Amino acid sequence: MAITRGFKISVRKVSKDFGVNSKVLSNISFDVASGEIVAICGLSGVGKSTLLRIVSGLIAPTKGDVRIDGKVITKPSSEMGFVTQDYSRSLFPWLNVGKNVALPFKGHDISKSERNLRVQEALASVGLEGKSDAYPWQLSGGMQQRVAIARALIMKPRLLILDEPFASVDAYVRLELEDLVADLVEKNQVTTIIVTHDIDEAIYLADRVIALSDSPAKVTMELVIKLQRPRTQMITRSDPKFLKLRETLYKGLRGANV
Amino acid sequence: MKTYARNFLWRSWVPLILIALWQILLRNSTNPYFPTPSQILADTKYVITPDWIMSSLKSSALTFLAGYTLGSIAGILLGAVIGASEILREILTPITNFIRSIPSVAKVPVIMAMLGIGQATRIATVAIAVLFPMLMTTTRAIATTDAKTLDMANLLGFGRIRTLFEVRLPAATGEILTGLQAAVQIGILVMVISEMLGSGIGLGAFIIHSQSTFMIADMWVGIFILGVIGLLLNEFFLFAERKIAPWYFRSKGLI
Repeated sequence: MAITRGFKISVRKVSKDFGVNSKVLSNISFDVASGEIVAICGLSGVGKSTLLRIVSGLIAPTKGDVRIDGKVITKPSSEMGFVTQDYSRSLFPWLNVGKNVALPFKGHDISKSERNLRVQEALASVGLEGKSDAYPWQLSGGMQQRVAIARALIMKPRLLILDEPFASVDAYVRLELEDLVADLVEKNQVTTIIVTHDIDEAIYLADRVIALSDSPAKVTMELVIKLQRPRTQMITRSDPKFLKLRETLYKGLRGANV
Repeated sequence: MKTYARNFLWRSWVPLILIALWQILLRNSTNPYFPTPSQILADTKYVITPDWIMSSLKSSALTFLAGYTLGSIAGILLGAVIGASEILREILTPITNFIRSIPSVAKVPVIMAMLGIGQATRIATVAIAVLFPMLMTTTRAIATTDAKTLDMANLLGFGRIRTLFEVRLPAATGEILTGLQAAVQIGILVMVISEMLGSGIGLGAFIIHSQSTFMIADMWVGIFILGVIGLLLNEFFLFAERKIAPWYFRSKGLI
């Protein structure tokens, strides 16, 4: 992998309890190299989102820590970009698309003309030229998620965190958005962590997949994905190596009894 | 505008029928307390004089507008601050419940003792009556901002103040508008009460005075004017809220 401007992430022995009887994460460790795309894959309700909330600095782990370029993370940083599953709650309906995309500029000293320019660039990069004045609720689900992606990348982050980003859009749009994200991640040379319950999506997008088991979540498998890039929906997904990886990961998630 | 005119015609049917029924049923009545609509209408020209407008109506308008504006701004701001802080909610909920449970009528003597019997007392009475429902509504709406929306504010690096004013408050738009609409009626109600209690000025005082001096038609004119004011204020409110937060109504497909 080429040297990039992306952050290096180190998750060290992270556990999280919510009260005495609710252990969600147990002793989770993994690293993400600069510029690497890591997918965290697990069944629904396994604690993937909790892990992401810890990595993004929203909540503190009960034990262990997360280091970003060697520094322990304690709160969200403007050098991170986020895309969450539910665009209807992450985009603010009282702001138009341009203002939603410009939200990360708040509290930063950037001139108005530069803001406008970067908003236009960001919208163009996700194929939404000229949509700046529209409101999110006037757009389709897929377009709203494109707005969220534009917003996540506008500060030129060094870490991109995607939490089930395509779970709320229909199947065809999902494939389109996967390719868009793969393309933007490469252009932006950004370290990327994507959480998904979709095995195919994890393999298609990632350099490495980390499988989490159920309650409390532990890392059960790390799978390096050596599929050639650029990947395409038609060719990559029918590659025998893809199918083999798919089988391995499925077994890893389900345990031995498949 | 065309649809508005058509809607207006449709909505006028029921009141017109009721007024017509009233006229027909009471046309031969000798009951002095229930004059017919035509008698009330005939009386309006004696009641609505420039003098009367400048004294009664102007005073009532000032009482309502100033009281409603002050009360709702104070209620929304206090509610926003209290709603965003769990500790403040714990500390202040008992005292707000205590004060708001005392009816406005019972608060008037206390306010009079502090501010005398002038315009200030009437404005303060309306403001306090409007403040509490706005406070409760806003507190609850702010306290229950969607968790994922708040996550996004955190991820964007927003501090408490910015989150309150740029995320929690706009997210509470629907509840706050509902509260403001309900507070219009509360404001009118309490305006009338404060005028009836000893002030001698305003629509409420006019109604009580007409009744006690046996000017029953005058009393009815006053009552109808109150109804018309309430109706117009509500219409104006529905118009204004769409200008204030068009995104809210459009995002819900209401306009």
